[in-house]
Amino acid sequence: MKTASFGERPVTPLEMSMTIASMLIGVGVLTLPRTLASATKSFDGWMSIAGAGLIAMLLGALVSRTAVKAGNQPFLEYASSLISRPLACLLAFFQMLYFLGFSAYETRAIANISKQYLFDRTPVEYIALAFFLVIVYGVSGSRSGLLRLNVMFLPAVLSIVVVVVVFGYRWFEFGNLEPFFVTGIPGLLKGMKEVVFSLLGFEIILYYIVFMARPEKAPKAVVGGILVAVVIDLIIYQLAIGIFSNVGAMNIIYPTVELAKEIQFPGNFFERFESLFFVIWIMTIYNTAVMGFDLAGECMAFLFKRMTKRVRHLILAPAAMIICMTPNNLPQFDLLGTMISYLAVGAGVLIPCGLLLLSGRKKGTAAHADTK
Amino acid sequence: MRIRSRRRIAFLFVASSIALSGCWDRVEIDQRGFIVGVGVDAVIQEVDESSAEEESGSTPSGEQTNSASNKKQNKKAKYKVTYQVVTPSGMKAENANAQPTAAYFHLTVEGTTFSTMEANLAQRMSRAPFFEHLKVLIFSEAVARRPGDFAEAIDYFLRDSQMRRSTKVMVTPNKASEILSTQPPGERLPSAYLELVSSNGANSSRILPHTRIGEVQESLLKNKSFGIQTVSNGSRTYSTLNGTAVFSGRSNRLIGFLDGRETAGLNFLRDSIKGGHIEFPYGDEGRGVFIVQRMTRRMRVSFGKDGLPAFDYHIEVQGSLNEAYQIPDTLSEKTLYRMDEYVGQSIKQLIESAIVKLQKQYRCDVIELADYMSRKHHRWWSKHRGQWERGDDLFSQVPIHVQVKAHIHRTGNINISEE
Repeated sequence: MKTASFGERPVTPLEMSMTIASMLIGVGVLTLPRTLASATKSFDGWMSIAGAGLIAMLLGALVSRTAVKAGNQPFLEYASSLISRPLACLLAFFQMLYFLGFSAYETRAIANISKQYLFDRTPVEYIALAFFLVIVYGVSGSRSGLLRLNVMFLPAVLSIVVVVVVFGYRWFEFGNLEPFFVTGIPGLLKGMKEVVFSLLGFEIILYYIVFMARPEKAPKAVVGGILVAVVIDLIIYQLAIGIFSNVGAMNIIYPTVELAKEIQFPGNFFERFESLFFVIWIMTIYNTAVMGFDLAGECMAFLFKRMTKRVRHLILAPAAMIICMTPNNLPQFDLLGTMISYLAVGAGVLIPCGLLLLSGRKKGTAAHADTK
Repeated sequence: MRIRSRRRIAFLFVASSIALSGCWDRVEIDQRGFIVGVGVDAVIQEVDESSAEEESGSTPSGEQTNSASNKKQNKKAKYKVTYQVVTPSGMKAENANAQPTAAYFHLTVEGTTFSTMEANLAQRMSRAPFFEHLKVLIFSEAVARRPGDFAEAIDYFLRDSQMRRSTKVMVTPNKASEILSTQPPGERLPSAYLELVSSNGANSSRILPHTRIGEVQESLLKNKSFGIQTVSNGSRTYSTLNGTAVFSGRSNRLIGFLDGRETAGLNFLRDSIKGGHIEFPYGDEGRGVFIVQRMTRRMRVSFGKDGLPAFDYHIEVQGSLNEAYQIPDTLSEKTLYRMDEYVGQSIKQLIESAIVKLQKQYRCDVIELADYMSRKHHRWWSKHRGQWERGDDLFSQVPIHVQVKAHIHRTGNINISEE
């Protein structure tokens, strides 16, 4: 029972890597230098990024192993065969909540940032609404089309990062990176937590694996995707510290956007590079949010089998908007982000890994269940 | 079916005409008042309005100065801020027949906070003030010296999302508004002119590398002393960038200036020399000018018995001879060698004058020794961080040794000019 039967070519492992990468590159990178700089001293955050990257890759491999185990059946069906349907429903509910919250969070974040840098007078609600309507439009079409969108947008995102780095080095001061290795272990761990949170989202492989022609390649694809995101995090982080220094990065709300703002092209004929940067970055955030919303719909479909797609979206979209507009200020918004991250760790990472353990133990009985 | 789809299309048309035409933030480019320079002066309480009026009366045509007339404001006002606004008509390519119009005008507002002053500005301008192209920010000495005011004033220029962290900051011992109104012939905008002069370091060793506002914030956050370019007013047609305004990390305010010679010394110490001329004596009568082309700096720290670090600078300068009076036979090796010596001594004098002033008079570590220690000797630094400029005031006690070697590679087209 392949879901990818829209008469389209199935997704290759490379395309799956790109999907994972675009899922992970979202609003996290825009604030990451600040959160990392607050947790660590000097340039030591790179160790946090590297450590967190390794953890994320390990978890990603485990989660995608679970996805591979599920084989051709959708993940939630597979889960219900392992842990009975009521429990699977509970899992589906939490995952729905997570994906919905994730998509709402990304929407609010981009609305906040656009408000600050682009639309001074437009109310933030309208920015979020406009963005969200496009998301709803995106998910009402073909699902594998969303994956193709990643393939289209990711190269643009990578090239804008390259431009930022190449032209940003003009203000780079190596001295800002020194001294090395001065942060204690607690600081590094705290930084690692922040990075792991920004790297969450690879759980989508559980659902999107059915689009892959050769699902057994999924773990590799996921690890590759996470690697891309980790490398981008590292590049942006070192540039931000090199230009703003540690205290500077700590006190800038969106260091990555300020990086783009610092850029001046020789010849002065092209100013305000950040507007271009925004356009491109909104594309990747759109990808992230649209996949989150799509999967929230998927989870809901498992809960209410007879509901049509249109009704599902009609219920989910207002719910997402409400979540999106609940935080009133930056600290509340950060709190929302943390809550969603914990939900992701629980519902998206730990439970699937638990299922993997369970399936290993149930191997004898599982073979029995399969024949049933 | 057909009617239905037609209705749908009609609905879409209406919806899109509403959705696509509305843009909350649309401001046409000709509706924006581009502000390219801001000068911040202190309000001196004694100055009454009539004298302020006189000042604005003496300004030349093409420039209007409005001083705040609100008496209530004047009482509490702390800053007197001059905004340089671009007039689009003045920026156009000049018509041969048309009378050249000024490319800018000035508005002066008084107040205590910059946002309210911006609001005041909007009350007076036909176009909404727009700061995205702000090039220079000039603070007068009086503002920079008042405790707390400088950091306070800079907050707005960092926080507002229109502002860039690469805006240049300068300090002037004169009035900031005067600096903003220097207009050399051929230059349309004083702010653009100042920005260009500020990056002229390749031609003069006495210009400190330009200071970006982002760097100022970093220094303020680190509580470290730092220097800002000083601009002083020569005349109406030029301003001079010469010297350094020294800000103390203890109080985050201006505590004094370095003159051009000392700034050159500071530039040598900080390895920020890009070029420049060094005048040196030769014997009793002779004089020469050396042009710096390249310099390398090595520094070393050794810890003495008392645990205090001592700094050794080895500076090597390469360049050419550009002018010589009464110097015999510039081609002979002996003369070259002697000239190298003299150049080295002159540079050393520059450096030492800077060190003495910073260590003994200002006690401010603008040389960035603190940065160096925190980078290379972090453990020592984390123990003595509080004693560096405060407390025991270690900075003013640490020995700094300087060795300068100069090499003259070229002596120009001629040997000697007179016998």
